[in-house]
Amino acid sequence: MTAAIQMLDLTKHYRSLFALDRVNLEVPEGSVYALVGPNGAGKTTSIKILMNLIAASSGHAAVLGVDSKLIRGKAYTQIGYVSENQQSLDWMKVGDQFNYLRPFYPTWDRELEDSLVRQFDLTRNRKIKALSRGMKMKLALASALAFHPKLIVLDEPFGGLDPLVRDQLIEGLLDRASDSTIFISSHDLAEIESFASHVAYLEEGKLRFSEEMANLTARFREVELTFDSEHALPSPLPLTWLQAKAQGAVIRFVESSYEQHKTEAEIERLFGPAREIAIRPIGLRAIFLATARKGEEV
Amino acid sequence: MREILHILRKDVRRHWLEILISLILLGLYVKITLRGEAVQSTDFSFPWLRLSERWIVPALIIFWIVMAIRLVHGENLVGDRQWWITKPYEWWKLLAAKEIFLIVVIGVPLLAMQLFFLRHSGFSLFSNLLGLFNAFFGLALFLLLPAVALGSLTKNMGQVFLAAIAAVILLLIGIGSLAEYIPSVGMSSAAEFYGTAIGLLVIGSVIGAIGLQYSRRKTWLARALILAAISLIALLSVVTPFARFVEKKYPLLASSELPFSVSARIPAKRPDDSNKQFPGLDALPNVFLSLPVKFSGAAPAHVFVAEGSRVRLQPSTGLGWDSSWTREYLIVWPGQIAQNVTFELKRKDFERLKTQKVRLLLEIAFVEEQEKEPRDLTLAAGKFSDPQLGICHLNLPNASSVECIRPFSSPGLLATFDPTHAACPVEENDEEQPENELTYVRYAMHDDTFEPKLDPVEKYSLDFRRGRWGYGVQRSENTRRRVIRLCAGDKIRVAKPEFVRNIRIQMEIPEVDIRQLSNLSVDYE
Repeated sequence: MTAAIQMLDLTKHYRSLFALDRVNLEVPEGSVYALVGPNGAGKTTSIKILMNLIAASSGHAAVLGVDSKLIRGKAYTQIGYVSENQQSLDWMKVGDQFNYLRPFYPTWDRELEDSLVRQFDLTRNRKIKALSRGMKMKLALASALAFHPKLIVLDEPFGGLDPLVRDQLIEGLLDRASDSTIFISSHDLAEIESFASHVAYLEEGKLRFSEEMANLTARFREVELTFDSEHALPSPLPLTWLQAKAQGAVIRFVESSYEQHKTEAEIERLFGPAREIAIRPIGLRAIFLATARKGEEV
Repeated sequence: MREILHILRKDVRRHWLEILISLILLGLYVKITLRGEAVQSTDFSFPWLRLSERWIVPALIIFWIVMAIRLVHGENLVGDRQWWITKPYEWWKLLAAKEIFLIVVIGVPLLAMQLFFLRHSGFSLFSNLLGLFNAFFGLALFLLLPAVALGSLTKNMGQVFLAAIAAVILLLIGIGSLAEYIPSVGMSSAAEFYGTAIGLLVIGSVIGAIGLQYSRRKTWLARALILAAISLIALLSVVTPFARFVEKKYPLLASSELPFSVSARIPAKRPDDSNKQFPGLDALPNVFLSLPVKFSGAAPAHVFVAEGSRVRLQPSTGLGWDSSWTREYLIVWPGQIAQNVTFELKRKDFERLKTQKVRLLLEIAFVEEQEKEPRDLTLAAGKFSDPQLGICHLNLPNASSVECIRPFSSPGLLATFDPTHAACPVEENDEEQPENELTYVRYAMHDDTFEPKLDPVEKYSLDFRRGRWGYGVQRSENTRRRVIRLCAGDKIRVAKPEFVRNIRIQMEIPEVDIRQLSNLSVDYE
């Protein structure tokens, strides 16, 4: 599988402040790739470099096989970009914006446009400046989908939207973008978890990890051990154990590299037989919390 | 082309109100100009007309500048949050659309208006088309190009306002500093490369900044380019030895080679150096001195146009003073001409130098011209047409001049009138005295290439009154107005000015008390 997006040692710094620090990342074609991380982690900076809105300090980025520094003009006929920070043509009406954009895209699909207008409840005669924030995002997304882009790049598209609008946007995105690669940045993990096929976690400009969502959720488990008597945490802890805590006869930790036999054997080796071993899958939010705390400790 | 027109249509839709206002202002300009032609310029019974004549042109120009900036801001080039950046715009198509907008919305109505003015004034349209395109190119170069650059380098009208204020301050400080600290910069035209270099730097940096912004949106680089050009201009101004260029361009003639005789007459010594007529002048930081100089004996059909002068005051002890080369505005015609060479020095220099007699060295740089293809032109009653002068008529209320109109600019012209052969002699009265010497008019050869113009019809006047037509400060019998009356049938000699050579003359006046030069009363006799 070829990469729709590639970052090689991508670095962006503002004097001594590193917004991105040697980030390496590959977004496979056809994936729904979520770039997550707290505010200020470098998500928007990465996207701006990919879209050639700002220049990287060093390293290399490629989008659809083209050096990101060359992304301009016609290259955008294959890329649909939506950002919560983007200004809009407020003086136009909704229909005017579609009319205006259509001739720029050879692959513009008028039927898809009509269908998106209906799906997103957009009114063609309304002035854009009179639209709510949610409706503006719908308009931006519809404009970014109607020409069947190969790559859809969304920078925090759901920020500040009510859940109903957010669900409508996600639904619209997934319905209409089956042939596209979707690269989406967000700090809201719950919304990502439901549809992302891949996920990367960025923190303080550094990429903590990047992998398929299924692998990620498969390898993280919350483990709770109950013993007959009080137990202390072993020292040193296995590197894959995160957020380990001992509370009387109970020990809890997050296993970041879960394999049933291997994990159980490790427990047996460190503590001997336990009265009860409870192993539960955990959500993306818990994974990132555990990872983030590990990062702080590091 | 399809995409260019598509962007253009969008801009026309967005700016329809501004386009309408621009057309209304242009219509008002036509109306006011036509009304102004119908009403004599000396008739003050139309104050609204005089007022509107003053505001309509600045209003139009400011409006066009603002419209051009708003047009560029439609696809803002500063920042990275704009809607259009991630759309498949090709930069050159966007820029082309903006240029076409300016041509269609400003250029085409302007061209139509100018054709109307030419037609209305009786000039051929076809033969002046090139001139009209040149005029629009000039407007684009001097007005629209800077406006587009300003729009390209700013994010909003607030930034435009700040940038405009900064530019005005920089310009004022720059021009003030140039005049104050760079000797002979007033004669920078003597260094021909200087003007060319400045033109190239200004236009090159502005076009470069626009190109950089549209093609790469490198705002700080584009701004730095403009600042670098300004710095280079300042540096060039500082390092260019203008005085040396003046001396090279205008070779010094020995006194035996002078094409005319020249002498200075120092006014009679005043009892004190305070200014009785204008006491307020004594409080000014600079003192204005006038040296009356008399020129005579220039050959007939030759004229000497002063381009610059330099005055040096050299005391026997202590520091002297040098005005360096400054622009001079005097013309030496055949016959006897008395003119004042005026210069200003700082009051502290004046106070320092007035305590002793000084040696005064005066240098004047002249261009010598001679009449080419001279001919007699008989003035007709009413309007008459002349291939060189354009369409002219006698100014009846003030019959000492011929009023002319011509496409784009006044012609290069040397005109002479001999009042002793006037067809209608003037009756002498207490206030007026008939002129009895040859009188002259000169218009320099005009390079009107790319000169921005709204009204392509240039109005100019061949005014044969001599320098003494005004009342002196102290009106007396001697300052009676010298008048001439031109009538139909009078002959004037007209010729084209032909460059002969550049020359420089020098005169030395020993033992001058500079207080004697601070008399402001202008004596042209």
